[in-house]
Amino acid sequence: MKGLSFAHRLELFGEAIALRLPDHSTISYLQLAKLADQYSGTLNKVVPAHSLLALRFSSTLSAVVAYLAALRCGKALLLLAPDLADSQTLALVERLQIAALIQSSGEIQLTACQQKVRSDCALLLSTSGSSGSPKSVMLSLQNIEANARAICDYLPIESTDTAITALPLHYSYGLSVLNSHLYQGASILLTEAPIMSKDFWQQTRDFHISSLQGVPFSYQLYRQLRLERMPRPALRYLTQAGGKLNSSLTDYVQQLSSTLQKPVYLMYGQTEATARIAYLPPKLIQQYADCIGKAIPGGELLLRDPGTKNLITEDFTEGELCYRGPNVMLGYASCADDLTSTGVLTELSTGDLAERLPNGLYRIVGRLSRFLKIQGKRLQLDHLEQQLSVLTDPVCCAGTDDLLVVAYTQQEPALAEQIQQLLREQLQLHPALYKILQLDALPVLSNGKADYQALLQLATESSHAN
Amino acid sequence: MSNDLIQTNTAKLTAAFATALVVADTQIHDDLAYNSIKEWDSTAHMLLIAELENVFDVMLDTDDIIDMSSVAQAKAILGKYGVAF
Repeated sequence: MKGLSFAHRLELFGEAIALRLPDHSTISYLQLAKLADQYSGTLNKVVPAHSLLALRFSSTLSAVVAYLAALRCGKALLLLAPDLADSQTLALVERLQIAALIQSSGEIQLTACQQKVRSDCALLLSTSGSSGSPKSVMLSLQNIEANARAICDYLPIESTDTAITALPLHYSYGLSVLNSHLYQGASILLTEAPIMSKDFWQQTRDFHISSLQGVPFSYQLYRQLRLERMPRPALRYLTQAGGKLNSSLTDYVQQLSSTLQKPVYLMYGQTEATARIAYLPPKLIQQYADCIGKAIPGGELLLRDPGTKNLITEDFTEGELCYRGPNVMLGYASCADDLTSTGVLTELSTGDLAERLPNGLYRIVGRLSRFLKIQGKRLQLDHLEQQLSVLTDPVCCAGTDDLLVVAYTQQEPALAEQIQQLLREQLQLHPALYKILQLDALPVLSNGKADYQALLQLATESSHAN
Repeated sequence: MSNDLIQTNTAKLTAAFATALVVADTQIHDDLAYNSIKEWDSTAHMLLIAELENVFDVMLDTDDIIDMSSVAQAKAILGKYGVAF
């Protein structure tokens, strides 16, 4: 197909419906292209050339038009959570020298900043969901196009399908749903209704939604809502990504797939690879749900020795999971200077430890870098320790994707409350997702380094005691 | 239904909301609604349902779970399962 990306080819689908809105109005591909071009006109007029823009990306028509307009007219765009706090937004504007901030409504606010961005950078995504992390991933138009194409190759998306914004659009997984449906000429319902609301489930029925997506936390909600009992004849398949399912959720997903008689795609990815890296063919879900599966079409998975970086070719041998493919990012941008970098990354080191089975499937067995994925959001533990050290020092963070553990030694009664407040306000973490421990001493290994395993053990023991 | 039982149920309901939403008991009143305070988000809602099912020993239907959009509504729904307020 002609055109630089799906965003440039909208017109090709003509009168087919691209976007559906909760009030049942529809926007055809042709209309969407026109709206995007009108908006591009405004952008070209008011925003300095080659500068960086940021968009509060809500699941609304005006925000989607702004996103597509930026892609079509070649303006680099950083996607923000629609509710990102003003203080965090300002910090990002300052750090990345963002020239204009686009509100969800499409309103453009110019800043005094102006910083040139490398010409091949089309999109910037935050590595950690909504926390406004200063570290962003730079993606090219080719990255976005390649990942959308690969997704359409392995997921059964049809042009008659209607997806729903079950995940936020500023999040790489949520964005990939929009992109792949626009790639295929299918439609997507833009809803801001939370998945735990009556509106959302009414919409899945009324709009004949064809697929549902979810991070592990979403599947916890689906389980509580007893999705398997909801009659949704139009629903054809489900996808899951954003972190590994724990064993009880794995059981649930297997049951869900067999009860509904519908395929569930377990997927693996990273924002650094635009979104998707690997998937498990759904017919393997009953037997291999602990595997991430195989690389998406056009990509390649490999294992390297974490020390020597040598390629590992033997089966059942642990190594760092690496990925090559046209969707691997250009690089990171943590500050304005990074925006003019010239390097191109060809291989992505995921930070996950994995092994390969004789049948070619990959299985994650651990993690090299210290981060948790809580409710689909990446949480850098070292970074969190730095944040918390303002309140108390020493402080140590460990945990699993289900539970963050924070331990400190200082005997100050108000501290637990202050830590809780920070976790709540800056990271939006519910108390059920973490445990704060006051210890006489933080556990250390014989080499003097923090013993995270021991800390985790202490936390599990103390919850059994309760 | 005795007044004692109603009082006990109201206290249990308030406690369940306070635990799930992590707010003070005094903030729990009939008009409090889903998504009206930042504490009552999807996570809290999920924990709230689990807490209510546990405390009142009921198994809520899907429609009731997503219908439970305020404290008053929670009382009305639990009423259908024989919990008096």
